[in-house]
Amino acid sequence: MTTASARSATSPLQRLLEQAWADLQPFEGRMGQTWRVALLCALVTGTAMIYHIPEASISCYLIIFLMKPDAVMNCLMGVGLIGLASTVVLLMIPVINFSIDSPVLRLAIMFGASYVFIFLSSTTPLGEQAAIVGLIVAFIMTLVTDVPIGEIADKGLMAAWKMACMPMALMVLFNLFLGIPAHTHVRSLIATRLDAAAAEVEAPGSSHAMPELLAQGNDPSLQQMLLVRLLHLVPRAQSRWLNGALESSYRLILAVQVPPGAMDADKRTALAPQIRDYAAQVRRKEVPAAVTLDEALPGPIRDALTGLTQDDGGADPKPAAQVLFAHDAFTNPRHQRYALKTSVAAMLCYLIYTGIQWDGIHTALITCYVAALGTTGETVRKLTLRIVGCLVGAAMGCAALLFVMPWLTSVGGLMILVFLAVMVGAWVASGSERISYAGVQIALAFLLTTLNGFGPSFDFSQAGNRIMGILLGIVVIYVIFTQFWPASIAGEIREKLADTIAQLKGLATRPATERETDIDISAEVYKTMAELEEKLSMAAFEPRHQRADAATLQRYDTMRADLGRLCREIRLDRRVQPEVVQRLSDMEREIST
Amino acid sequence: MTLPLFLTAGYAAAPSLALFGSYFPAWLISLGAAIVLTVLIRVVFVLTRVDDILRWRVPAYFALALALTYLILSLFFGR
Repeated sequence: MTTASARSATSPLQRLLEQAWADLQPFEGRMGQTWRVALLCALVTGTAMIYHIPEASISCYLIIFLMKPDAVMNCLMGVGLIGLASTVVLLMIPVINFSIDSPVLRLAIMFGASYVFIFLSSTTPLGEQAAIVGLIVAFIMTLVTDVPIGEIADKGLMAAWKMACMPMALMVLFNLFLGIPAHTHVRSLIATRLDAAAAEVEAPGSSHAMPELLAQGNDPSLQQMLLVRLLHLVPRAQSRWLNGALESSYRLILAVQVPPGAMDADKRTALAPQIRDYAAQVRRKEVPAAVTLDEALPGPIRDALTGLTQDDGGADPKPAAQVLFAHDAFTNPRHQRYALKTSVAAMLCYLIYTGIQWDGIHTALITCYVAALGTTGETVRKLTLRIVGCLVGAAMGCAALLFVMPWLTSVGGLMILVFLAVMVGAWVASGSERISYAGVQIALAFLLTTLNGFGPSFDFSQAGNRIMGILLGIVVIYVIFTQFWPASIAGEIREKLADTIAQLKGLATRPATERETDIDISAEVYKTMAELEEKLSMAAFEPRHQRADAATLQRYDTMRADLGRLCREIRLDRRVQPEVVQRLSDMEREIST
Repeated sequence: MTLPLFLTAGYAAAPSLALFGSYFPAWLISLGAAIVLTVLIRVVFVLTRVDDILRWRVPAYFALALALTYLILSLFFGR
């Protein structure tokens, strides 16, 4: 992690490009995820072409957007979305019959539905799935105007249903056979943590993966293990060990964050190979065999390593309970404003393209649902990514139309073309959140330009329209999100900092034994540190008049960087130093002013 | 005409059932029933610990589901 001072030495653009280049580098599992997404998209395209399911590009988009590395989650997501989409389509039949004669009523229903679903996506664990359902509802309502009255149920609804369910069904099948199941991910996470811990023991601060591993916390993996146990994907003894080892390995990487002076060089060189040996055994799917550990090692390290050799992995952690609604769902106006802004933007796009009778640019509506995000910085950055991605994808699409399409005579050839292009998009999309939206957009723009009709197509005007639509959507979202209740990211940063400082203060008052074994608050602190670094880098994307001034952002960054040190000291000191408590109080005062 | 639909459907060119005001192909209904049965059989296997000693579980259960589909198709629809 570079420090803030070193970063400000280079120009922002250069920094941005360097960051983007770093985000494009391969990492473990990236290629695997990429070819899976690309192959599945090719299969979805082939199926759509052969069975004449319209809008193959949207079907592929759902795959690129929803497919995660974890096969178990993908299967459940696929089944869930099929159920959700089927229910919605069934419910839409009476709604359409009721509103068929009145465009105003239809508009109102579209608005209401998208408001509700986007509100749900912002406040419930459903998240993006709810936003997709909102998109499906709005999409069906817009189809009503295009289809002759008698055939609406037949054509519009069936088209929308097939468009969503076919890719999901294929995703479930594909993941059953070719996906990587959750327990494999958990096992490799444990081994990665052990390796990182060994590197950290050998040379403190040398492990590049460490900040990310610390920030990840245990909860996402514990959720995965919950499903693995529920569906009995591995024998019970194995899942019990994996579940416990998650906590023990996290304890270990927390415990090795000792100051360099706390362990002498002999101990370090003796311990690192032992930890590496554990990691190798975990990779071979064995429970590590107990070895005699140095008695003089710090207690937490010894406890964590001993825990890993036990049958239950040394602990029996449970994931935090999922709440149905976020705690501030109905008190914080942010969620409602977000839903309102997105719905207004979508309706505006709909009115614009129906008003000027240019249906070719209906991608504007779709863009609104997938591009909107809570704060201005996030939205503008996402829009920048989308514009860049859209242009790259469109260029690729046009090149394909010019140079490749004339040679294609069959659906098979088209599938190969889609596979190759989606490889590019999915590679970018599987990267960090800083660039993943550009990847999704590259693939979407390419697919929208090349997949028209049911076979290889040569239509340039369609391609141009689709791109115009995306750009219109982006502009409308930009205007709405920066003009009405602009939510600056500085507010969120302040909230998050205040929250974490309060938690650390609470931790400081507890007895030493409790502080030493704490996991929850420490994980929260490291998570906040990573999140805030991300959010601080986003502040640069906000329009100048909304941005917090550079000095304030700098102050927040210093505080963020300080959190890790304070947390370490609170955890490890027998008595919390008065200086630490003083610093926490200072920070609290600074934020509230 | 008094025969139930699933008996007469066996003689038609494309066997289908009228459900929810539309016609569904027989194989689709058999597949749905087979998947439900396979899930139930898996629950029994897990409880009796047969699942732990099975190898190649995804192909095994997939084959089971397909076999059940054809069984149901031939028993109830005569195809």
